[in-house]
Amino acid sequence: MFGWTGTILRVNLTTGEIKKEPTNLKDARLFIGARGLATKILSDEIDPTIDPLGPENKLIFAPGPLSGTMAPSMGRYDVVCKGPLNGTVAASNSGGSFGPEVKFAGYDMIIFEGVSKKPVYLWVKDDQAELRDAADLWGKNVFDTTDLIRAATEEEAKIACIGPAGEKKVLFASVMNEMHRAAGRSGVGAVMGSKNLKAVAVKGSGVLEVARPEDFEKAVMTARKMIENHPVGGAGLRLYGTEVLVNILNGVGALPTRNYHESYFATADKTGGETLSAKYLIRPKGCFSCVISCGRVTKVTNPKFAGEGEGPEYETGWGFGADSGVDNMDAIIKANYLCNELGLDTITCAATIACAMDLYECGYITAKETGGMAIRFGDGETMVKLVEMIGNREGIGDQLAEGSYRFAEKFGHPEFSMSVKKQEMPAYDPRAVQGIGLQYATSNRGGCHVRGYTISPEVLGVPSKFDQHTTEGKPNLVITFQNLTAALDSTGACLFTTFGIGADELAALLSSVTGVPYSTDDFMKAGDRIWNLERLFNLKAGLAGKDDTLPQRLFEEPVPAGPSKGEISHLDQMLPEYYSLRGWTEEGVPTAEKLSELSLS
Amino acid sequence: MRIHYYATLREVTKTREETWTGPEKTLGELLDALCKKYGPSFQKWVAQDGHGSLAIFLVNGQDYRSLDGLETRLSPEDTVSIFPPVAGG
Amino acid sequence: MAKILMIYPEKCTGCLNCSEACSYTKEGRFRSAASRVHVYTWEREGISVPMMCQQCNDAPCVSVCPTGAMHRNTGELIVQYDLSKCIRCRMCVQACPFGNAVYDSVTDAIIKCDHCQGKPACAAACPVKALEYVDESVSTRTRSKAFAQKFKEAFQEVA
Repeated sequence: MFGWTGTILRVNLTTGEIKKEPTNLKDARLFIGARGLATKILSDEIDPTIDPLGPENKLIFAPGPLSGTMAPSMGRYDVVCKGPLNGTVAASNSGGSFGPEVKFAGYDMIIFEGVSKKPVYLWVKDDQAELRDAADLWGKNVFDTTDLIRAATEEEAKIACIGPAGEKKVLFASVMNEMHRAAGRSGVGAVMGSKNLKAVAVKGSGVLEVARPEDFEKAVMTARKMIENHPVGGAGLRLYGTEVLVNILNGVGALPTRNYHESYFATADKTGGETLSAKYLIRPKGCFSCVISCGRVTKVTNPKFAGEGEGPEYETGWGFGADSGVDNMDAIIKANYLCNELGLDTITCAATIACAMDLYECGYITAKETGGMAIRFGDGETMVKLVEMIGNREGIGDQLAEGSYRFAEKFGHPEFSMSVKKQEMPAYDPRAVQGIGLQYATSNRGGCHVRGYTISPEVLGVPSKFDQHTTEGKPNLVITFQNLTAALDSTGACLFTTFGIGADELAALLSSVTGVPYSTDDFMKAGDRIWNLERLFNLKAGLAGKDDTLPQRLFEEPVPAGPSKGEISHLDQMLPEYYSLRGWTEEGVPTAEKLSELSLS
Repeated sequence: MRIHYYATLREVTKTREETWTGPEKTLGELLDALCKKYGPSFQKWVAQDGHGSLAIFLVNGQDYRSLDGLETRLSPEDTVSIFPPVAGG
Repeated sequence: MAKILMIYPEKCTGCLNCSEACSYTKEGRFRSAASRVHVYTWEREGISVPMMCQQCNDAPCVSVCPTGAMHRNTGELIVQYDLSKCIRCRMCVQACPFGNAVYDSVTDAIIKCDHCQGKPACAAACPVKALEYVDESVSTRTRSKAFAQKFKEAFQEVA
């Protein structure tokens, strides 16, 4: 067998039973792996209406068929479950080297079901797997947990774990691996915490082979060359990291500022990639088999915000920066480190704090509710304090731990939550960039940029330039990106390889590794299939077309200043065409015909 | 006219921004003049046949491709921002 | 001209492309223990260091080998390993002060870097040139020049 190992490890945390079962290869061909295949299994095995923090939810760690091979920058994995932040199907993607290690141990995925009575961690060494007591680890942060488990298992074991945030079921708790890499969004860490599962430790000495070595070698060399020759994939990301986007988005007036009140931040440059590289960067870092090296090893020496680790990435630099009105880079980076140590999604964490700042500034929450704290835009010190409080569910942090929507709703103003389907929107203003607004509104997990990254064509001009302010052609553009990304995610590839290669090259790699002939059309169709599968899950979970929308602020409050002054989102001009092109009804439901075409009936 | 430089161009020009008082009337003319001033290490990031086809030029925050491309006319009160193609995320 | 496989840990990103390439070149498949390059990563500090056989002149592994399995042919730079003579005594594993020779139970052989007949796959695979196969005479120039640059800048400021 090639690409897929053919074996799944299934762990019942209630009974303690651990067993191996064969991977369904028919499903593997249709849904590829990682995000797609794990979502298929989840869809088959759980009722979409269950409580995400209850015992019936399942938690799946799933690399892809390319993970562990030398396919360039293609060693990622997904953490899949029903997400507690908003009840949608959650598939959180992460890099590092955890995913490949699962493959080397011999598994296509590890499925957790039930709830353990006491805190445990799973230790997998090739075909041996056991649940171990985690009483001494419970309460420890991500960094210490990783070191302690390595000392108790093997020094070079790869560890995916939660920090205090996941243990306390913060609704946007993340799963961290290799200390600094995050399966960040949708609260997958809270599900892990709800199962009393502290960590998964893996060491694999197995073999991964490819079906057609000559074709594979050629495909790898071609892909590497194309990525290396691309100015973004080949140089830009290694030199500056993703934070280089700050000045670009600000330049075109699309950097959401102060909880989306504005879209231009005057001191943005202090928080961007140029500043990061000049003052804080120690060296670039790369995930397993990566040729891009966008990771940032950084350090803050200012004693007030001292720390070291990796990051921040663009969304983090934006969330703790412009969105919170903060331009103190030391504070921004410290907030990022704390999120990694506590195990928190930086996007939701930052946007929730920004929402609290907005509510406080408008007088809808006061010192009474905050326990005496003044929570204002621009206050980096308070922002850092709040991250710690959220991760530990202390004081007002306990309420912020529910996410911006529930927080704002509690104080009577849910419209202050800059979220879609209760998941906070990231760092691109839909009033200034029309297509990304459609992506946010229709994404299967709520506010999300990465699964339909039309910023590439709309702002960066990659692969070709679309006008950011127009709606024409955007539904088709969004659909193409959503389908491509769904298939790409499912192989184990990193999204940043698309700064260089496309569906042709991905299909070639997938075919040569697995031996299954995927044409470019097959590949894109798999993406369409995975997208529709996720949609079906969400519809059964209780979501509907009316949830495909954006916060009212983006329709009613034109951008007040800057390069995109006067603009609003024209989602209404794009959504009907989007549904139609997707083969869905006017209510956004996939038709029987569409499902049949995708072998989903 | 103000010119803002970003990313690798800051290292090449050794500045973040400069005030430009030259006679250039279009974006294309301005880029040519800047290439002349800063040489090949500047040119490689903005030349249209190289990476420059992916560079982002903004005139008052508007992408030049939504205006008149390299023929976009410039006036003394304009701000031109030049981003080499380095970004994604 | 004598070549050395230079290691620049300050550039290493911990991506493991070198190990993957080594394993694939030697066995046609991906298996971490098959790699003659081992990368050590310290995650808190974000530092990674690749390690492999240094082809010592007076190699301890050669001195202790009772059968001549570990040997160096006259005039050559590489310490060679002849599997057919190996009795798996593991004295070479004990003797190497860097731990760069290991016994592999899967292939029942000693694993040790041999520069891939003059075209080390690890150096070719490294995306950031943290491993470079260069002439000994210029091997340290990048590093010493980097520090010479600091001298230059310091003196330029003063002058």
